[in-house]
Amino acid sequence: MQQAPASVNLPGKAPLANVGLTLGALNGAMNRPSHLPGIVVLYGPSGLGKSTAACIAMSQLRAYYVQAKSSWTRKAVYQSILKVMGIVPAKTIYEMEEQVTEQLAASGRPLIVDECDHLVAKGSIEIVRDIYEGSNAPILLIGEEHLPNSLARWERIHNRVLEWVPAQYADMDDARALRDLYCGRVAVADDLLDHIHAQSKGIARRICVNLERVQQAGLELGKTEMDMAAWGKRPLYTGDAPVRGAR
Amino acid sequence: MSAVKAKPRLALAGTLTTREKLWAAMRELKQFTVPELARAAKVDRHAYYMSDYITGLVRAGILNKEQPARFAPAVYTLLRDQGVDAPRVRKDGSLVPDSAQERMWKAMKVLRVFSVSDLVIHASLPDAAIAASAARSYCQWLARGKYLVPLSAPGDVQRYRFMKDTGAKAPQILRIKQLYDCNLGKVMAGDELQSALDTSEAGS
Repeated sequence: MQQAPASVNLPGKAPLANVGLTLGALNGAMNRPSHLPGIVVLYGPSGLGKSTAACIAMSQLRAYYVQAKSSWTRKAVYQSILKVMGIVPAKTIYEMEEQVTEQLAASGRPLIVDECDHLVAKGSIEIVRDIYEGSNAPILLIGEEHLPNSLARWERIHNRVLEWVPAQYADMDDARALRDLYCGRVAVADDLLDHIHAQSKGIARRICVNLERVQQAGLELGKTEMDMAAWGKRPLYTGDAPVRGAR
Repeated sequence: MSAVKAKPRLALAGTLTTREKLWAAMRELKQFTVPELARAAKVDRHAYYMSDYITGLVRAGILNKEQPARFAPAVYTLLRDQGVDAPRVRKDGSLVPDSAQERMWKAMKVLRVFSVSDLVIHASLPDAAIAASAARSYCQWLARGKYLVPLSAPGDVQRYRFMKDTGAKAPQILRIKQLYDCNLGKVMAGDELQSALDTSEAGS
């Protein structure tokens, strides 16, 4: 049971493309020369592992992570960030903004805002600029494929973007890296991994779910290695799901 | 706005450990001696051994220590204010990463539906891996506390859904020693919660 991977996702040596890109971009923003802007945007269709890449970046860089919701008002944005920071929120929006920027500036920790599309749709994305201007903290914005286009309307944010990072579909290298991460107890043969990769259509989340299922089946069958023959005709997870919203 | 009386604008939510109380007082005072700090933080310095933390902060370069004269109390100055979170330092001044439980608590909020190996992968650091057994037992505790709902589907591994976000600090599994008398059916003496919190902080 002690198969905890010892050296997963070392900065700069991340096995997963999206994790490496996200860590690299956010690291770049954290260590940027002072004349460069500090906002990084990660965008792409859902399921590619943007949020999980952000999760790893959060753990490794001690970032503050918030996920925007469609119901968010200006006040809710600040309250949510302060909750993540563990700070007692002040009464007014103005004071809360001061609290957020003060803590970001003092701690030097980056801020990650996921599901930014909601903020753009409500027009409250300017808040991000206020926070950025007030704290100069590195900020990672995450959103769907069209986020760069919709951000283009907000020139004042658009100008402050250091790097645009498109999330990648998982390739076979990623699938192998995921196999190493998830299947510590049952070896998964290459032919089965090919099959999983093809069925999952490059969506990292589905590959993970399938790999865990294969390992589970291997354990139940008492096998140390699973290949196509052992897996047989069992269905793989391809989209419609017992596991929902796992992002 | 009078700077002297203004309430600290950044205050941590929830129960504070003694180290966090000390750090909050340091941020307010900026310059202090140990007795002044104890008074401001309302910490009984005969009950709590403060010097480990202060020495650690000095060695980490966060505090500066000056001895104005022989036998006079040392004066400490806050050099690097790192925000509201109390810096986690060992006595030798090296920095301690967030505890495994804190990292898991944060990661599960992002993942929302996750398996134990998801959690291990997303919360591990290159130099501080999390054992699957530790992650599993933390999930089981949180499920008992109704923070997580176990999901099970046939042919799939155990997954959890995150339900209750109570705040930034991770719920902790504490060890509290108590003296229990079966004759009376009463706890006659025992650790305070505060001391259990401080012990777990120092040990992590």
